[in-house]
Amino acid sequence: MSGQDQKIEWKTLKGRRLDEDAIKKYKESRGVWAWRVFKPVVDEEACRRCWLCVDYCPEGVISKGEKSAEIDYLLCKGCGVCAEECPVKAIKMERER
Amino acid sequence: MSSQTVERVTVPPTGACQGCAMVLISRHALDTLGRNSVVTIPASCGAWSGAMLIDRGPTQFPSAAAAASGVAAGLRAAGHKETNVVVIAGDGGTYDIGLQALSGAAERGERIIYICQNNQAYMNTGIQRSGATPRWGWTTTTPVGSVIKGKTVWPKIMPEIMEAHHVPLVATASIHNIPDYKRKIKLAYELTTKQGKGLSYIEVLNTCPTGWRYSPEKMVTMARLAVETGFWPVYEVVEGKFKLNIKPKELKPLKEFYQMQGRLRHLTDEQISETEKLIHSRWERLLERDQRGY
Amino acid sequence: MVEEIIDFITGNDAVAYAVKMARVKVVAAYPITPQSPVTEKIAEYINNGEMDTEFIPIEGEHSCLAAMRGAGVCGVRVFTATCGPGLMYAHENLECVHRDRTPLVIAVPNRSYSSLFADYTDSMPESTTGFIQVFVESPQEALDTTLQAFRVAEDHRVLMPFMVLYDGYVTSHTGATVRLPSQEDVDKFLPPFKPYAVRVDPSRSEFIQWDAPGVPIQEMEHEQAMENAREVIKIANEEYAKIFGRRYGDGLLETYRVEDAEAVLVTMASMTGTARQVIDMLREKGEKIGLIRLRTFRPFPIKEFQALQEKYSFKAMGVCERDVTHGCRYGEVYGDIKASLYNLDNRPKMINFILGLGGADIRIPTLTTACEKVHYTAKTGKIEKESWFGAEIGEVETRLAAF
Repeated sequence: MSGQDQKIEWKTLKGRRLDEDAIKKYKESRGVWAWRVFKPVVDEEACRRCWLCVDYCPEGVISKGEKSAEIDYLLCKGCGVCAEECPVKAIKMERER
Repeated sequence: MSSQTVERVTVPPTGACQGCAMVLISRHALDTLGRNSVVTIPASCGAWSGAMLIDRGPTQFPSAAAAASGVAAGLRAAGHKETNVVVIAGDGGTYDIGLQALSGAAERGERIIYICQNNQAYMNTGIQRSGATPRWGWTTTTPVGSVIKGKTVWPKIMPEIMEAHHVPLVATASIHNIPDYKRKIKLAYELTTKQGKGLSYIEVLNTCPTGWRYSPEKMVTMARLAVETGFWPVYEVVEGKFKLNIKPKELKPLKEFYQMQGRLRHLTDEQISETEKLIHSRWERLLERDQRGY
Repeated sequence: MVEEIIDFITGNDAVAYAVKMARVKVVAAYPITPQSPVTEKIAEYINNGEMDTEFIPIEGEHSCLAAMRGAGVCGVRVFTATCGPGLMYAHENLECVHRDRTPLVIAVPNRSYSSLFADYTDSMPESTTGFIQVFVESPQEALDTTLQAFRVAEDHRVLMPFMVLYDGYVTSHTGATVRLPSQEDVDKFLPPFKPYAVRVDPSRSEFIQWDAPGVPIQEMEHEQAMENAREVIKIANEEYAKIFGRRYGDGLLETYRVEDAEAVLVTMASMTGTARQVIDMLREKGEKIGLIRLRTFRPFPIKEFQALQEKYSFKAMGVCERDVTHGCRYGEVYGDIKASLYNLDNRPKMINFILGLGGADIRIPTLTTACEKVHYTAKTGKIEKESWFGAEIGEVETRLAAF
């Protein structure tokens, strides 16, 4: 049997596929939402759909929603950049805790 | 003005600080370059940039560009054409300990897209000074003491060092102008990965709120002000042709920028004016180059 | 077997030829005496179209090993060569290569860190890091061992990087008759590289998250790999002999005239040639003395030494090596052999000879004096002094073998 057909398992070289399930579990396990003191809230009417917040959010947790920008609160750390940069001040930081 | 909804390569959330500009820089770069990429990240805040849907080539602190050279050669040998090999290094791993590897890789014409996210200190290990820290800036190894106040020497100008290496692209970018940054990433893809002309060097100012000592929501404002005061000129040198990308009609006073940051608030008026003189004289030189085109 | 071409080449050229035969895909190297001719030859092969290889003319040994690490994780066959201060400069990234379990082969023409010439003070500091280290005696063995190195390192039971060590100048720059195997036969011995796990592969449709078991588990697995390596080195030695007719002892140790020996000298690499002459001379005089050549230093042949001792019951053993562990007044090899034999009821008295430091020649008078001391201990059971520096037994600091 050649050296390259051996059936042997090395824990050091084991890999897991990072599939949809694994990604979902990963996102849920990080708990960065608990870092927030202030929470960004979007005023749907005021939002002009310019999508600057989508670009400027460091983690990229804001997405282009049907009516306005939508923030994924599971992943938002509450840094406040989106509220600061919104040209029409459609995002306000509200005290969460 | 707006960004397309791209399939993301980076997976949020990362363990980065609130308002971290490094995450912004790396997510836009990698999401623009897409899945056919491999990234190499040396010791830096970027090393903790969380999960990604692309492979990470391993590397030690001084060896980011060298490991990337190896990865590039290995991928070619394994038959992968046109895979982006990206390095996302900090200023420590570029200006100081990583300088040899970067210079060697640039000289050899390696097909690497090298992105330096420059926060002007060794943030990951606790805000120590680096070769990019501004003069008189506070860091934990150049504190403002009663005898010596802050860093005593001027920083290096890395993009100009890279220009001496005969590379197809040397550019600086700012996170306040994402479309310009993305355009440069796409240009790097064209010149480096597709046409194989050599190493592309893009340096982005990382306005780190934690290290620069200011409140995180001002992260993008800080970058804008850095460019508008001339502290961080945004330009590109594409195959020897120079172009100044963001040209404020008049440079804002540097004090406006410095006063906003805890690390630079202690400067005296003389120190600020001396820094401003240097910045303005460099600005004049860049305007001249922009006129000439090279 | 296709008839081998017989040529007269140096150790460096022999290694370069083996690299060509092994169809290595990525080579990175930085010049350092006495390794430079290896990469010069490889560059010649590449530019003549004889090798289809990516060559990275890297700017320093530290970056060299980093590049090898980067290329290795892409799942291709990689090779590099360095020695002396270069090997020490590369140390940080040497550790990484074995942590990634990349089967990198490094040719190291041993060079002292304090001079240009041969001693083992450059590779001994790497002996605790997890490299397979094999000392070779001649250019022919350097060629054979480089081919075997790929076979052993790439075996899925091993997956550890492999260092082929030969004396700088003495073996690397000195010409000898070498039989060059044909590509056809080498392909029979060395199959194309099939990686166990490819860490970097952009064509995968999904991302692989690499589990990183804790450091204790990693280190245990490395030890398991080294244990497996002992067997695989022996297997590779036999497989090579089946095709090419050349074997080196059992792969780990080579013995010479130990059958009824009371005293035995342990040597490594090129000093063995001189030592065999001395053994013959002393045997003619009637002294019962034999020789063991240590070929594989890491993994250390613990059981093999114990077996030899149990079989032949040596009364005294003299260990000759070109390195010293400062603060202990003995060398690495001496310490390892002593540790292997300590628990035996019938263990030999041991003496260490620290010869050839800085590349000084190890000559017949020196080895004769060493053998006399071992013989004296075997006869009387008394040890005059446990460790001898070459200068204390008449070694003169000449390096005729280098010129």
